[in-house]
Amino acid sequence: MKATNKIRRTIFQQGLSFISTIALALLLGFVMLWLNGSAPKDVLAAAGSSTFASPFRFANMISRMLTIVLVSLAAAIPFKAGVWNIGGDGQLAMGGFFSAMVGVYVTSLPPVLHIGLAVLAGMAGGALWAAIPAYVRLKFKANEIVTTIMMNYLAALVTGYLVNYPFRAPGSANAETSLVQESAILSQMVPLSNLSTGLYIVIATFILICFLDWKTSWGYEWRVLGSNDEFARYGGVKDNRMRFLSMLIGGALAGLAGTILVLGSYHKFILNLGGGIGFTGVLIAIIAANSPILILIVSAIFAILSNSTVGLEARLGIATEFSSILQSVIILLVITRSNIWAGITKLVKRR
Amino acid sequence: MTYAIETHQITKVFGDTVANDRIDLQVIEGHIHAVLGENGAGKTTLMKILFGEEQPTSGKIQIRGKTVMISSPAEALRLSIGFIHQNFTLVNEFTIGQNFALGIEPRKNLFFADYDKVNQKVQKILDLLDMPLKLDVPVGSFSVEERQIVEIGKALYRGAEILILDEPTSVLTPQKIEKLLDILRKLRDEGKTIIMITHKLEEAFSIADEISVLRKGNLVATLPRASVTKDQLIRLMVGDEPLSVVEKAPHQFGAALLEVKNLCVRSGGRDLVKNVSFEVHRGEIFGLTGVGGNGQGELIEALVGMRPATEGDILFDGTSVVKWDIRKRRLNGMAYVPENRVTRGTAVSLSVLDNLVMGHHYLPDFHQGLVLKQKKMESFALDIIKQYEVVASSLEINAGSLSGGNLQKLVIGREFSMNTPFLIVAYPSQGIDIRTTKYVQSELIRRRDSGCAILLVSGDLDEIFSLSDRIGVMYSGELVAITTPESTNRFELGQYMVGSRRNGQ
Ligand SMILES: Nc1ncnc2c1ncn2[C@@H]1O[C@H](COP(=O)(O)OP(=O)(O)OP(=O)(O)O)[C@@H](O)[C@H]1O
Ligand SMILES: [Mg+2]
Repeated sequence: MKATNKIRRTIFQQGLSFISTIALALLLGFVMLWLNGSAPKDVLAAAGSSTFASPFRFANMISRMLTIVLVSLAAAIPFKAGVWNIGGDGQLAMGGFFSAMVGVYVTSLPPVLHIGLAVLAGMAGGALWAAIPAYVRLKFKANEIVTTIMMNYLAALVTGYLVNYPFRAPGSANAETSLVQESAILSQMVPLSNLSTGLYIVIATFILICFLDWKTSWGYEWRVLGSNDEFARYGGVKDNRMRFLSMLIGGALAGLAGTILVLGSYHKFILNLGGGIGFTGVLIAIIAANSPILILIVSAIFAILSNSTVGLEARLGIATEFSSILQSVIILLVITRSNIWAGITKLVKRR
Repeated sequence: MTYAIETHQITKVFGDTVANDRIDLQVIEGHIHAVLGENGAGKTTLMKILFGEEQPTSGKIQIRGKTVMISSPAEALRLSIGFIHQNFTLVNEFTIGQNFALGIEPRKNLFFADYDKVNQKVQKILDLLDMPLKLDVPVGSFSVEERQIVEIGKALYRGAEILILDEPTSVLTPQKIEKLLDILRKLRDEGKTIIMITHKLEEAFSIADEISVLRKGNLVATLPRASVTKDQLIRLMVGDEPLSVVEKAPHQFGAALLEVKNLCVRSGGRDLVKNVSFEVHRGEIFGLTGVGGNGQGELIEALVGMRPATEGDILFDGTSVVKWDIRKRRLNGMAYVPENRVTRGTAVSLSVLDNLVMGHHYLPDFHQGLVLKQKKMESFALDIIKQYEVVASSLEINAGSLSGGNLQKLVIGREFSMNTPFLIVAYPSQGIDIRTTKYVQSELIRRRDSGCAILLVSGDLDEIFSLSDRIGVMYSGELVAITTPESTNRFELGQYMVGSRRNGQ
């Protein structure tokens, strides 16, 4: 059929423009480093080595990617419904803290139950932290961009207090909880790495989110709300309820990211657990236009990039900030890609 | 006597619509010139041409005797023409001075604008307008009428000698209208020329020196205020061709399905719907008409649940529905073809399929728990496309890529196929071709004959007349008349619409 061909073509073009923009950004990165005196060959080798040289490095990249995918989805689901969730960091922290509480203080449960309970607690913690700004937005029309950011600071303060005083590990020099019980640990999948069996939880969650997005009335109503909320209301979508729900799910996803860091990587709650990854999630959701599949791809790229900094610094003495610069270049290029493409097509046509 | 503006044979064509047809408008310098006409008569288009926002397809414009090309609003301002749009154009976060000087700020030095200088000039203008407003607060904190007057001040600041106002009073309460008219009179006495579009005869009468009437793109007359009567103007606005009635079976009154009782809608301090009562019976098409913006929109919104009713009751099949949300009303048998298909009737960035299943997607047929029945939805959507002849290459293309008429057919198809006992249909033939209009009309009549209750809202008297069993007219939030096509005529409806007559007078 002619029509479906057309769709395939647009999807192909979209994908092509997306991938070529990222390639362009990477190319720019090489040029920058070249001008700085590092031969592209060495750069590639150094960057590649930090991800692909050994299984545990690759596993670390995947583990990083899991966190990024979850916080990106945490931003993307509310975005779809037209709500800004900039609060991924706070939700991740609360989620991590809740799961650590269950992990440390609940005892004598079989592992499956204990992990299940800790995961639920973590997701509930994230959802709860997202529910507050969502409620304030719906009830008092307070701008959720502001409130979710405020909730990030609040989460940092609250968890900071909690792990400094009431729940600090006895005798520890750092602000952190005790280690979680053996039964709550997500076991390591690759020796020496951060990658845990949390991988399976994330895969299952990812599939579930794709399913929600593509096949259910929730996904449909979010999509409509996000693209024309007046139309949604007119058609009988319970707009506020769906917005609230999208925030809850976003919060739960960020909470899950915190949970997996706690149960899988650190085995305890530490201060600044996510390290500001929530904001990266927001950017990736924008770049990937809220599409789960694109989020997967972009997250992989970002995970590789942030991994590479280690190798670049160790081998070539390139400052770790370089990866942040490159990420910013990618973001700028991807966001302006339609304009860039229009410009290129124009140039080509003029020929 | 000199003319501030003279147009010669100005014509503007949009696709198939001739919005302005060889218009020769003459506006006398130092006078107030009112422009009247039904919705869609071409008033705004003509003014946009004078302000350089639209280019005429053909024709010539003279400003103070000199032939000019008004290529842009900037050019219009250079010719000292200012335009106060129907909707506000102020930046709410800026102060009056920042708004007035936006883009033309005088410089104190290389980097900083000289707002002291701006504010001196602003103060003079506010004094002239007799508006003591604060200079250091954002304009968003002002009331609607204050902002309206600030808009006028902005045009004056930029040196306008000819002021064009597009329905400036439509958002104001009666007392504030008086105040605005006083200001306009004062400006005329200062020597400004003013063109004001309005739908309210009363206003034109109280303020204008000359009155022009547009009808279907033509300038039908320009008359001095002193030598014209209201009835004459109404005839000019609505025309005097006899109205035709579509062949249909005689009216079979069923029981009342919708009963509206003393309904009031208030918002932002304005009474948008005032104490409206009427019924729509099974087997009846109730035509609701009026000049756009007289409360019809808000009334419909209250009926479907998109806007709360401040007072009064709505009974649907005997049950009060005022507390029900939109979905519950839809599930219980209301469907609604909205006036604005792009902002309300569709989501243009989503696919045709997504647009067609809206409102159906929570009916039992189309979902199993949370999961939507994709196959069912697709075959349903294809049926609508076929039945209503929506030209779309596939279900997956963006609704925004459909032509206006096809988008309208999509909306009508979606709402009609809910097969509800009650339908609200607003401006159904807007932008669709004659064949589809005929189809929609016969479909409305078929449903009426099979016992459906239909509320038809339209500003097009021909449409209202030909389809309705009874006709209601709204003016300024009130239902001023309920009548039947047999016992009224175009002129009388025109009188109701411009507020110069009420039922029984
Ligand atoms: N940009 C446009 N593209 C296509 N058609 C247009 C455009 N602008 C106006 N029209 C059409 O031209 C006709 C005249 O429109 P115009 O806005 O001038 O009417 P109006 O007299 O100002 O009506 P109202 O009283 O409703 O404001 C209408 O049929 C309208 O649909
Ligand atoms: Mg207009």
